[in-house]
Amino acid sequence: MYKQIWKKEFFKLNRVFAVLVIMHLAAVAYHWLRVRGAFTMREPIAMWLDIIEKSAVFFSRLEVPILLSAVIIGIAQFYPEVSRRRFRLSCHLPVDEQFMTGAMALFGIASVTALWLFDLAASYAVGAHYFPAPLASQIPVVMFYWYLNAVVLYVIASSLTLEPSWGGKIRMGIMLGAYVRLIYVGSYNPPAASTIAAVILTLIILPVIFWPARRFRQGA
Amino acid sequence: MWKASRYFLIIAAVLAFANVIPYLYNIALGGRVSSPYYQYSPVLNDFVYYSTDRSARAEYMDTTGRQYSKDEYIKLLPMLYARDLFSRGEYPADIGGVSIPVERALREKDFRMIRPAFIDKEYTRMQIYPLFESASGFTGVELPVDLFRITDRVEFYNAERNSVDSAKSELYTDALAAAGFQFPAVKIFGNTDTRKPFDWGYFVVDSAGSVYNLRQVKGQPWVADTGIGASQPVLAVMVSENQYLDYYGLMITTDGTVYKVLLDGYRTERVGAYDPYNESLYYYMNPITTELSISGVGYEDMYILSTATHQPIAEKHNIEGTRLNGFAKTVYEAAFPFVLRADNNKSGRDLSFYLSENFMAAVICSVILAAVYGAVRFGSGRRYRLATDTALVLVGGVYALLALLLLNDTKGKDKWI
Repeated sequence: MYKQIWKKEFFKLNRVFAVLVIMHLAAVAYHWLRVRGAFTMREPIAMWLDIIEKSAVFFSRLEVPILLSAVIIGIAQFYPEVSRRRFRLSCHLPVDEQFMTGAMALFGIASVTALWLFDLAASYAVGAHYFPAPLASQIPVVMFYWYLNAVVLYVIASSLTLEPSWGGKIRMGIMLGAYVRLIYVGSYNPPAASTIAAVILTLIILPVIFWPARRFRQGA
Repeated sequence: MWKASRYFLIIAAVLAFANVIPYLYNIALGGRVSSPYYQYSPVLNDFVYYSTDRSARAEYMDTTGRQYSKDEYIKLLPMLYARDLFSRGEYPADIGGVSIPVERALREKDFRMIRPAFIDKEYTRMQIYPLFESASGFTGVELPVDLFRITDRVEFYNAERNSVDSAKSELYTDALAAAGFQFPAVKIFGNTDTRKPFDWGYFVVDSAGSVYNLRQVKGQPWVADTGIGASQPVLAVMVSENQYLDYYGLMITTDGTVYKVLLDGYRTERVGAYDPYNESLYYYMNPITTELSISGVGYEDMYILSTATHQPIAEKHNIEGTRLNGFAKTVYEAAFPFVLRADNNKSGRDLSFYLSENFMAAVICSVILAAVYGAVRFGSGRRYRLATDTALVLVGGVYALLALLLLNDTKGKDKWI
């Protein structure tokens, strides 16, 4: 049944996902051209030192696409379920309701992960080509925070979409709106404690998606 | 998971509220903090200060309450305003009984502001540095073609090829090892700014806690064992390349003692002590006095020493204003049992957890909130999960109460439970 749920999610999201892949491809290409352009204008050592001294995240233009994609996937995945009350029908399938909700959320997170891995591979390739290993090795560290932030945004977007009443959406928005502020990190070499805290904060919010699903199931 | 999701939602909301509500409270009710800026006048042998009002109008005074004009005020601080006074022809021949030529006043000075964030930045900074040529024969410092890092060996990354320069890396690794350096390196400190007249290189702490000075002289490694060892565990070294000073820079040890590292054989000379993890140190040295200003939340302690003898001359302890005062502060301390602060700084964003400064008041407030919440729920017959919800209010205070009210899932006959 797990495979069938993922197959259903794939059919629902494949077009949206294709558009997001194109958006990420464009963002990565633009990023590469901007870095290449900067290196043709200035000496490499000056570029390196400038970035290190200012702790400038030279690949920050890839942050917005992954965060935006997480929100779009969350809405695209659950809006059709809500708008046509499919979710309640799905709950009558011969599968545990919680298992089904979890499988759907897992598919959404897997989609966000796939896009993030693509961004990570591309930005690491660009970074390793132009920058020394100690700097390039920091790219996954910073981007890991973006990933955690994207997962949090996905959960919030999914939960708000799945929440059946508008009053509930507003209340939940107030409750979770500021949560994104807690996970962000903007620079290199963050302390290990910050990373552990960000992972814990992400794990705390993951089960929240079951709350609106339950309300929907019970006919709110 | 259905049931647990409710509690995860409440916990997430409590954490979010603990960050955003105190922040909004501060913005809404915080006032302007106007702290006088104190300085020591060698002319009066006393402190003078200036403060600004809301319209940025400055008021210059001494501790007796006497007011000065700006022109009079800068004459009280001839070391600090030597350039201005000299250009007006008003630089004094005699300052507190001592004759200091204007050239000396302009050259022999040093300023340092060392905040806890600076210490953090030294440790979160990307550990890769430029090694400048220390004997280039030119008056300035030029960027090298490579950067280096030092861990269990020295590695130079050539920027033109973006690859490790193996020969140079080996040369420097061997030079350090020959000088007795025990790899891996633990910490490294230096001034990476090119806007300096020359270069003192880097102070590198090895795995045994010994400090070595590493430089590049005529393209070759130059290493000196400073003799500063494990008995003085180094927290940070701030290097000042100034040919008119008799020291390489300031060194702070992990216990907060501040030393000058002298040019004379890397001897260390104690300057003072503070808490480098929580306080800021402002260090200002001129030919007559050395000023140490140590500030934390709501206070500033100033110590004036003789630059020549390091003997204390004067000290002053100031209480600084805070953004929240009176009733607003009392409410803040009682209503918010804890605060999660997400502070932006140069090394990213720090998430810090603070308990209320008046924790007992916060506990009492939470107990009252929990009692009222529990009583209202009990009285209205909505008793399902009453004990756990009341316990949440007890622990999470106003944040948990707000989350439960927003959740609004105990209406009527516990419809959604």
